[in-house]
Amino acid sequence: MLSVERLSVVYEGRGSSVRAVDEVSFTIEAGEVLALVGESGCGKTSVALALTKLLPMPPATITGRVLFEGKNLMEASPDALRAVRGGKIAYVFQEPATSLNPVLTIREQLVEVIELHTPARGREAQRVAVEWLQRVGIADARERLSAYPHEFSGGMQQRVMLAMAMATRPSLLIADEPTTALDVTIQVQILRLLRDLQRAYRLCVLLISHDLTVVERIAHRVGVMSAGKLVELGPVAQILHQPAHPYTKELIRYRSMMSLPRRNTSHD
Amino acid sequence: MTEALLDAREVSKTYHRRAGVFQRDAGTIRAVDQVTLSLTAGDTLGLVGESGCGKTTLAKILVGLVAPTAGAVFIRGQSAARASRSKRLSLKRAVQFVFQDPMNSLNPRMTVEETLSEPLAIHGLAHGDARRQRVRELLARVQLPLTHAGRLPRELSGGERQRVGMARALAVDPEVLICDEPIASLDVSVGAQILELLRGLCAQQRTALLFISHDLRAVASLCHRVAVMKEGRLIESGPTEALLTHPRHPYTELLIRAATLDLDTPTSK
Repeated sequence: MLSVERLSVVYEGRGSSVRAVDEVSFTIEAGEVLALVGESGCGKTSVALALTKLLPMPPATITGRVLFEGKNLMEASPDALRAVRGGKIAYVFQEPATSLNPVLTIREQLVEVIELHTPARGREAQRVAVEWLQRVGIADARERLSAYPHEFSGGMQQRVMLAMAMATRPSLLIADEPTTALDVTIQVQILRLLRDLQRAYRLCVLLISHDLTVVERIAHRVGVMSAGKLVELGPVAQILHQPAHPYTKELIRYRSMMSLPRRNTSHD
Repeated sequence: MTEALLDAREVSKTYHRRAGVFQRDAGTIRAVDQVTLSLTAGDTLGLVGESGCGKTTLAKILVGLVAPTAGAVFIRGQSAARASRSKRLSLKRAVQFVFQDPMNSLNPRMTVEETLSEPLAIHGLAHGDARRQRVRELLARVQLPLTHAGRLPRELSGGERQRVGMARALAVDPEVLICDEPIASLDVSVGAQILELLRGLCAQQRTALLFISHDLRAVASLCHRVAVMKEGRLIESGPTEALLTHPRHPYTELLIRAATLDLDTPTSK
């Protein structure tokens, strides 16, 4: 489905350059969730953005190959890339409030995306928009179409972002810290929605997260990034229980320091 | 009987909302609603709740940064609000605060040494060489290299800044330390190091700790007691293990499921 080969991102500054991503290679199979974990500055967001060249160039230079549905995106024309972004490859970011346009209604934003990336037009596009708002759990979807982003809570905005991402029927969803900015009880709801959508549509997901528990709940495989390098990659259970790299071991030690006492309840 | 170092009795803080051009009264918001809590030496109490539940307002009331609309705060049995000026200074010294965002709570133009010397000067604690010596001790206690004394906040990492914030609070040997989301803006590993440092400091000095966080996992790893806050009220509190394994309030149950990211139990909320 997606094959990334020796992807590097270098940011050129005045007199110095930073290698944010250093020869990273991985694949994502159909219906698979791959997570990238690591601390801030480790390069995980740069990977997510570099896949569709969503980085300002300069200062960034991207090298390597990104094979998506048989084509190398690094050699695709700007028009072809624009068609892929938000279409076959959809993004959901950490801050829904800054991802949505504050002066346009949900209808304008959702319908625009649908008309741009699918054959649906006019009333049909609007019908699809309502359908997706309902699927992501927004009550009174038809009425809420005329609302502006600020009339939604953070969790609801993230639901709108997921509707917008899903409405174009992507084959790859890139979710960059999709629950980090939300309150803890809302995080669970959004994560559950993401997992349910992934299962229902057999989506490929690249999940960027700093939280190993989030990864454990929804990812199949996980890659650990440190200082731009992918230091370890494997099935989630293997990485969590038999980490090989010292950095991964550290992350897991911190996680176990912060675990809750086990409860004797029937569902766990 | 052990004396309470910090004792809040039924403190409330009510804000009036104003609306329209004539600023008519549009009702009141009870940010903190009749909260009672106390801390004795060696106590570690975690205060959890979601954003907007009033936990930061409560913390500000406890250190005297916000005056409660009702109720009172006692430090070693005495009310700081009613104390004389000199007495108030010594009472305030007993309770120190560590803020969430170390970048915004440090003066960008002051070096680490100047930042740590200021509370010593205010409380008249050490002078000249003794003060410089004290600053070095503080840096050592929060595990910062002595060479950082001459640095400005922008020359430090986020974790280092938070250590400076902690050293500043510790400078006056407080009996109670109140930390408001001290690790929320830090990376996982850096946050874990700050937690370890806090644990060590509290155990050595028997400093009472009020640790405020939205992260139940961090609270559980550090605190002996937990209090849960919702919509301005303390809805449940108790020893950490008991509260987490046998929560009585449905909201506590919800927070626990959220902290463990339990995706399979349907939530009613």
